[in-house]
Amino acid sequence: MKTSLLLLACCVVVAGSFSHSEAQEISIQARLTGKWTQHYTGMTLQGAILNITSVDSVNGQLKGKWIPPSGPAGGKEFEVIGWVSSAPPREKLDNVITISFSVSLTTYGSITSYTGYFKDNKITASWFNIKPISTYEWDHISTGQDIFTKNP
Amino acid sequence: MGPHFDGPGYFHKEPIEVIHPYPAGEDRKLRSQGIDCRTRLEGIMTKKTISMLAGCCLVLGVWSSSRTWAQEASLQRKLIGKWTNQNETKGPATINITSIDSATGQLKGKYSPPSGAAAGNEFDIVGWVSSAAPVANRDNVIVISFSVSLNTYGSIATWTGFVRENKIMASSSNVRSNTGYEWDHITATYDVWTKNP
Repeated sequence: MKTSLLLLACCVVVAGSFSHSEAQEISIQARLTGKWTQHYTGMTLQGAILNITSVDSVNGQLKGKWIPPSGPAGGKEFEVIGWVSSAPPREKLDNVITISFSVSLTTYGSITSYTGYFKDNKITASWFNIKPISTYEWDHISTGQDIFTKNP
Repeated sequence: MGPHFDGPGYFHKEPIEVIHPYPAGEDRKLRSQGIDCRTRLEGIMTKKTISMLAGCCLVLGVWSSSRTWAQEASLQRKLIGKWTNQNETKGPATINITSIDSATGQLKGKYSPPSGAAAGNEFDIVGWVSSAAPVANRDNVIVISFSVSLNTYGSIATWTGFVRENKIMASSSNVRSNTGYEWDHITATYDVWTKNP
């Protein structure tokens, strides 16, 4: 009798934890996949569109498309790759879902990477842009911070 | 005088001076059969011009594709393999770049942390390699970016930089899931990676 109860309890715990993590996963995917608009911090420039098409539920690999708003690459679609991750929330700490993605803008030969987090339905990310041609040796990498909001 | 550009948007064509390839009698004979020697000559010239142009294009194409292929092969040789992070404060992490897609520049590989709870494990890396046609009197480099999800911690690290003198010089940023302060999730530094012998 005791053994049966113990087995039953184990099953309930395992099933509970599985459905919980699965639900979390679905929730992260649902919250992240879709179109996002880039907002430059402190600038009035029109932002690009980030379309997150998938987030792998096993390894967190993110895939999508990047559509620049203007310039020679304006309107074209570029592949986006990256990661989504998280850790179990800890009390009295600020807990977020981490995210990183990058895009190779082949029109210019430049690459931009974004590293940040998802919180309050926004992606806040620090970015680095690397240019293959610059006037000075020290002028290849620029950096800043952007906020992405999800399109309705 | 052949055709020439008269001005912007205009293409002016003067008559081509006719060189008779046929004896006068033959010319008349052909005309009586409804064959215009001028048209025939222009046809021959057009054919010759087209075949010469096609030949040039073919030579140029082969030359440029072999050059691109050679560049690609050299880039792959340069980047594929193991690299060690020389940032002493972080310890000697290694990345193993296993492939670079020649069409898209997508990079794949593995990251091995130097210490801590994740040490000894390998983590997938994804990223990009790109470049542009070199420009004179400018600093021209191959650009690179790669990132790794350290799921042991729920953190993600990204490197974005360039390749110069067999080194990858990159700005790096790391985002952590749990921090004591809202403003403390993203940290940034600068790393130099050298290729393992």
